[in-house]
Amino acid sequence: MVLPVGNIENLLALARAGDGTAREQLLAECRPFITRVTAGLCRRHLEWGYDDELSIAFMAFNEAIDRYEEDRKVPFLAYARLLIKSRLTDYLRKENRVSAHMAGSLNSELEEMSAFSLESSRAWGEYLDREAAREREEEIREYAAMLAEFGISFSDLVRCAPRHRDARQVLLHVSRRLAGDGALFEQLVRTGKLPIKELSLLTGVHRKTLERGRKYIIAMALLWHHCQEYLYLCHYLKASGKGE
Amino acid sequence: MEKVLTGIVVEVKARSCIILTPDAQFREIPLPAGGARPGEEVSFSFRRRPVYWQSLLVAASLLLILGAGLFYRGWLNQAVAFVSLDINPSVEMALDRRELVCQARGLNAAGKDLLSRVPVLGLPVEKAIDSLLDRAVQSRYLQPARNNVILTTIAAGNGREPAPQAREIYQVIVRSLSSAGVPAEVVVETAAPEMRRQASKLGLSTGRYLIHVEGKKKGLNIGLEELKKEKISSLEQKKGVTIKEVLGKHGYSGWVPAPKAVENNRSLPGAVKDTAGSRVQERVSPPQGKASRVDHRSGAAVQEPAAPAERVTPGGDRELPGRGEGAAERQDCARQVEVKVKNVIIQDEPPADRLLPGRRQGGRM
Repeated sequence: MVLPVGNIENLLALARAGDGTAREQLLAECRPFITRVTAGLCRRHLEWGYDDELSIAFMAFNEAIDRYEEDRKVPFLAYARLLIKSRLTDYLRKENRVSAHMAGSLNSELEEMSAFSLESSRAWGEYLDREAAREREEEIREYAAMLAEFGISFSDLVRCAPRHRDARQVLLHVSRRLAGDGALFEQLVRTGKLPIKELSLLTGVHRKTLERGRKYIIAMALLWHHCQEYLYLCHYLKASGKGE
Repeated sequence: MEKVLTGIVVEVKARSCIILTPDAQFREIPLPAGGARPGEEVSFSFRRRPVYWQSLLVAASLLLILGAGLFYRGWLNQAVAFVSLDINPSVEMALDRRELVCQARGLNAAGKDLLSRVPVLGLPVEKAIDSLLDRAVQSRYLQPARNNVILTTIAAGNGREPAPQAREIYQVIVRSLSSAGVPAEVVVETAAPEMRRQASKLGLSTGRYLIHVEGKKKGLNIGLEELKKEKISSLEQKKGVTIKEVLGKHGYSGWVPAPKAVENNRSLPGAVKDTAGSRVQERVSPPQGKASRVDHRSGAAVQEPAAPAERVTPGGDRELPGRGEGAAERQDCARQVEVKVKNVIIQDEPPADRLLPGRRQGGRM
């Protein structure tokens, strides 16, 4: 499912400007994202209303709306994910500390202060950059692995990606239609082959053109379809507005 | 000129890396100094060779000028008219737009021989004709004692370009002969391009083919083989007609007599040319009898403007077959021609008081 990133960015801008309705809407739309991120960190199934971790993550997401820094070139969702991760880590550490305190630990206050100052200081920025770089690298590795399942390498894409802007725009348009069409994308995943005939009918692009750009279309369609997983790559392409 | 390419590194190789650019291009670039990690944003500047537009413009202009020059030269040197000369040697010269001889060929063995002795290529047509006649006299193709006939035909190449004026050519021949002191019957005709093409196909000069065509119209039986083999003067004698009569007086024709003094004293025809006072007595036939002549450009018959010319009447000692006119008429003609020579044709000749007295009488008209 392709995230309505354009909507999120619009809602984010409104929410940051003080629009309470937009904030509510943004939080509501991103609840599945918050759930998935939290469950991934806690490595267990979580339910709203029962698990405190989800509430912590929800509050962290709300905080991310206010603290997001566009200059860092980190997508908002990635930023929110990092903040959720940080808050949950703190929460879990605190939980452990409470347990330890109850067991006789004396350093809880200092540790809490230390954790807060780390987050609010320049070190938080460095942490954010480091984590973002790590996540980005991991994301690319996962993307390469997914492409490999379709027999595509980045070297193939260097060879077959159109150099001419107009030709590239045509294939990008086709790949977005493919990513947005559930049945066709499912067919692609199931068979590993590009449904050229159907795509040609759907987009009006000549089948020869589709055949020539087959690997590029598949690669970009996979990226668009899993935009929620490949936040950095999608954000990088969308940021320029040329990859749309 | 530099073009900067920025993108996220998606794959690192030994000496290069693949990047994904913001406009969704996958490009392979050299590995930056210090290496790169996947996910890192790197920039690479492509250095393009500077394009020296000014040099290119100059080169293009030069090429254009050179091309235009070559084209103009080719256009100028294109053969647009043909002048054939039948003495006994028959030659044909192709003229370019400047009326310079761009090609020349002998139409018979004597013609080839004549051309081998006279370099006419690149000369103005007047000069070329003068040189050819001069050499023909020296080579004894034209002799004072003979019945000389010079038939010249002018044909346009394609009918669209202007050809030399028959009158000018006629005057050139007359001048040349008079300075050489050789008497001759001179006929200058114009012909349509199609006529020249037919003549070439049959292996004849345009003039000879014209004789065949016009003779046929007048009921004369002048065969092609005859025309190929016989001299024109022989044909005249054989058939008992003059060329001028056969050709229907389309163009310019006349008789250029030899000056008496020269005729009596000179040993070589070529030596006569030095006697600058040699006086030409000529009769130029107007385009009478047939009021139209062929237009070079269209090949159609057009009305000939009044030409300052007289009828052809060979001299008494060069009486052509079938010619027997009275002495009174001759005297009359002589007077007319003398006036013409003074006023119209040979304007660059010495004044009348420098001419030999014997010539002024014009008794041999």
